[in-house]
Amino acid sequence: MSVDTKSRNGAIGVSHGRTAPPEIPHVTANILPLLNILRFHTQESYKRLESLVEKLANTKTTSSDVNRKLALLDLIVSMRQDFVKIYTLVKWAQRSKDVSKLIDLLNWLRSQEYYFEGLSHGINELNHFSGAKLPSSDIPLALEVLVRGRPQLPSYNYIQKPPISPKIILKVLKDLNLALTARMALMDEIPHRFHNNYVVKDGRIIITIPGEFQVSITVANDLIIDEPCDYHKSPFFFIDFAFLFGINPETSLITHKDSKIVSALPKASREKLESVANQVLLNLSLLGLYEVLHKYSISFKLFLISRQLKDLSVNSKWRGNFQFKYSSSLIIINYWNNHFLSRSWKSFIEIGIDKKYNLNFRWFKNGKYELDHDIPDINGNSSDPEDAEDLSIDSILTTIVHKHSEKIMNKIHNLFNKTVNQSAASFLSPHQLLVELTPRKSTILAINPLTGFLFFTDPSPIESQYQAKINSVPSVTENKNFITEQDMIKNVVENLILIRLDMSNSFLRTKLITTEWIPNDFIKISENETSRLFSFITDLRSNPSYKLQFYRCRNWPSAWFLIYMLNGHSSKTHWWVARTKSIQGEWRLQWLKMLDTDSHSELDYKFLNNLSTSCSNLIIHHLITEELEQREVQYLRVNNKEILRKFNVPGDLTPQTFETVIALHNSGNLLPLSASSSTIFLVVKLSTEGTSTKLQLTMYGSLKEQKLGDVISFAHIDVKLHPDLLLFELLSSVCLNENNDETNESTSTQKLLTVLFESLRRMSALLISLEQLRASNIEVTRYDLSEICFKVHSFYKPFTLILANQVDGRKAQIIPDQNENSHVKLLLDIVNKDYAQKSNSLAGCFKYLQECVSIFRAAQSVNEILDSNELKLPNQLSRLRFDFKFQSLNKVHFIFNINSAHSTSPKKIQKDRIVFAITFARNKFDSRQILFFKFSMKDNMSAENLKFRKLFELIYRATNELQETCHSKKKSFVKLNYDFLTEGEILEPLMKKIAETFVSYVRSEN
Amino acid sequence: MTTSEFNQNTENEPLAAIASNLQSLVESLIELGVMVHDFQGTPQSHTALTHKTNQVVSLLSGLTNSPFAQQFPIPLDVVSYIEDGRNPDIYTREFVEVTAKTNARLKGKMLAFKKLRDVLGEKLVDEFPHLKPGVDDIKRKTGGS
Repeated sequence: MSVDTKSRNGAIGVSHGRTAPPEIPHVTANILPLLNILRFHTQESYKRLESLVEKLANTKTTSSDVNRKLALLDLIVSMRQDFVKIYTLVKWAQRSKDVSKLIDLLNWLRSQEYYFEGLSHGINELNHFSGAKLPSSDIPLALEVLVRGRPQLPSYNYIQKPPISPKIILKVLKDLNLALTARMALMDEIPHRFHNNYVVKDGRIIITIPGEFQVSITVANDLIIDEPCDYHKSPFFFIDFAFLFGINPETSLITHKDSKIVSALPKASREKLESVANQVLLNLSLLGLYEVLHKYSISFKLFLISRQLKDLSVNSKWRGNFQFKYSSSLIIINYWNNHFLSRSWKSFIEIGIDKKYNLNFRWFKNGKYELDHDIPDINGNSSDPEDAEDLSIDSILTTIVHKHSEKIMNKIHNLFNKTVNQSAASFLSPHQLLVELTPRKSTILAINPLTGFLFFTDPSPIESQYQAKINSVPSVTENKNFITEQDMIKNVVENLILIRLDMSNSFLRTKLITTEWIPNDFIKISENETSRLFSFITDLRSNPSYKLQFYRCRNWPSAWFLIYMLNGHSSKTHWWVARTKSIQGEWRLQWLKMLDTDSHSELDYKFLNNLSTSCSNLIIHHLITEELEQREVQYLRVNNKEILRKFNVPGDLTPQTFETVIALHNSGNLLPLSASSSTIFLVVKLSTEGTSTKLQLTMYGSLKEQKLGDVISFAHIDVKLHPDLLLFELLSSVCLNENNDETNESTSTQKLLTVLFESLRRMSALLISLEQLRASNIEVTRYDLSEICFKVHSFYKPFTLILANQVDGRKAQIIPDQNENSHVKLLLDIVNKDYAQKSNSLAGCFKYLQECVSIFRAAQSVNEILDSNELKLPNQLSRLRFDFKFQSLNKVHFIFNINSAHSTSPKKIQKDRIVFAITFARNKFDSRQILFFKFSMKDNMSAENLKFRKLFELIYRATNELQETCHSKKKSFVKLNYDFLTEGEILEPLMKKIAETFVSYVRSEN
Repeated sequence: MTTSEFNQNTENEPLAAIASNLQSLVESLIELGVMVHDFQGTPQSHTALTHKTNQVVSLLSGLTNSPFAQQFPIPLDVVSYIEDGRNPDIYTREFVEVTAKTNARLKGKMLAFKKLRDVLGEKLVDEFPHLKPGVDDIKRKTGGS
């Protein structure tokens, strides 16, 4: 700092040739000149004195002299005191100039002091230059750094140490070796794997764990510690570390070979490890060190494995076939990760540290750990490290996957052979299974160990279709959370069985189609119906693997099918013939017959050829027997030719002609036993002519000799007679092809025998009718298979009996002659009605008609009487009319109508009617057992008829006369209250009498 | 040194004159007081009083225009010292003492900073020899050798 050299006063004194110090600045503040003080005080005093004098002059009168004096005196005294002070001041003033100089000097000193203060503040301020930066290095500094390593400023006081001599080093090392050997010997707790695995040399302990790592440690002084509690006084220190394994550059596998491959640590890792190891050594000594390093090396191995895995997952055959998770202590490899069995970590290999802290693996599959496998350990800790294989994750994976595949294939093999009950599958190799599909065809089922998927070698289309099914999740287990291996194997075996089924089926299908069978795939039958099929087979009930197929022959009636069932397990076939029907969209088996095929284990052409024959026979047989059952005919199948011969039936039963002979039991319902025997034979013959199939039905029956005559008469129609053999033969032929299109099967099935049985029935009816007619002594005038003419009574004209014909639905009825009396025609209507209801009442009909003759005659007589006595009203209306009417078979009304002019109004005509009811009755008292007529007048007992009292009296009189005559003639004529019981003969005379009575009554009325 | 007596030098001559004037004035005032006290109302006394009063007034007048009184500076502190009835020599003494102390302290500081300057300069030059001219210049400027 520089002092201003200029004086404030501008006076620059120059003395002795050098500049004088500057003038001290003069201070004027708070300083007054003495003159000012004197002047102020004197003038003040003068003023006070002057004013007081004036005041005293003015107060001459108002104030006392004393007071005035006092005032003046006070002033004088105070003035005096003031001036005494002034005097003091003046006296002091002789020093005032010096004092003023001092004031200036002090002031100057203070200002200088202020400057110093500022200076020290400024220096102090330097301490606050923390943010101050050095300027960029200049070239000399840079050179110094470059050449010498650092700025070697002379002020550093650096003392150069002399170099340590090799001697000392050697000594220290020796001491250290000694100390280390002693410590190792005295140490109680040494990890067991460190025993015999360490060397003390070069001042360090080198511990080598084969296959894992090598570590060097030492101590910092030569203290010998023999108590574990003193360990902290001289803990071990970590020096160096290396892994004794690594990636084999030739194979890129993890190798332990003779520690040739040593993986040194990168610097960062080494520093980290050093701090960790020192920490552990300080706290836990060697035990901790082993643990840490062991884990470290295992983790490193795992890391190397994970790297291998990563490589494998990118560029190897394993690509896409496994996934893995890597954590510091565990690798989980999920192999077959596309396979449902293993997908999403269901099967995996864990590679990690086992309980002994060794690298090991665990195999998890099928929901549990697979511990019982004979795959060697992988930890590489085998006794001889020379032998230790390189640790290849590829080979581990391969081993396990192959093992798994092998197990699966074994299980498939076992289950399949167990299910199929034979040695249908055999091993070609552990991963290949030769599966027999049909006796002549087999396939190879193999497993791909990479993916776990099963495949067929050179698959056929069916096989590839099933291959997909085999490799997909089994449908039955879709709802389960976990699919076990067993489920999967079951699924595979099931599918294998299905393939077998399919193959056998297509094989059989081809055979069947070539032998002209037509497959039908539309029919599906329900469980219920299937179980009916199973009821034929004892060994199949619990077995769901089967295949049902429907076939039919071209010439078969519709709805008939050949069913065969293939058993998936035993490969057996079962054959049925069945008639199916679709009821509400569901197929039902209406009829079922199993074919006996045990003898035909080999499905050769011969068998298949015969199959159609035997099936057709079965169908025909069934159709016929069914019809027979419908007709309620008892029958028996004839298999013995001898019987036919015995009965003289010209049939032969060789199976090639497809003949069936059925013996029908004739209990009189088919043919009257009086005319034939109890057995009638039905010969069924199926013949194929060109495209049409014909069913020839022939019926043979024996005839009694005495009836031969009757039959001969209609032999010309369609009954063939063998009079020499006493045989008749009915022929019928049905073309089966025509029935193919028929939808209504009831008619088609019934049609087979209809013609034959109709003929038989007509024959029978004719025979019966003839017999009955003959038995009732009725003259048969003419007969053939459809009608019989006969004479019942001489009164009637001949009647014709039309025989029933089921073919055209005609019913049996009696038809009168065309010229017959109308009353008779009416009566026959009633009779026919009755006859239709009771088919065997033909004799009764005849009897009845004979009895009715009396009635007709009586009516005829009455009419004759009335006609001879014509009585008429004025308007030409007959006064008396007669009519009769069959109310029913057992009730005839004789009606008399009496017309009379009204008594009051002649124009009006009164109509009255009197009815006599005649019924057939028996008289229990009569011993002759003949039919009587009951003649009843009860219907007329009404008030209206009172006016005819006279008439009734006349009637009674007439009857009385008749009774007398009857008595005389010994005819019975019983008179009841209002009724009469008469013989048939009496009816006519009775009615004559009555008619005459009416006539006479009417006349008398006039 | 007290102020009871005037040094006989030329500088103090005006002061001595003023002092004698003041003595006369004080004496006159005493006399005047006596005269007032003893005033009888007689014409003589009246004349004497008037005379004396005029004498006082003329003395006052002489003091008002005291020559050379201008050159004596009086610090106000001294005035208040006298007002309070204290001895102004005490002020003088104290002032001298303060000045001496301050002077001594300042000298110490000067010496200390001089030493600091020398040491700092020396060290700077030691460490950074190229700063030597600057340091020397500062030393030279601040009176160092």
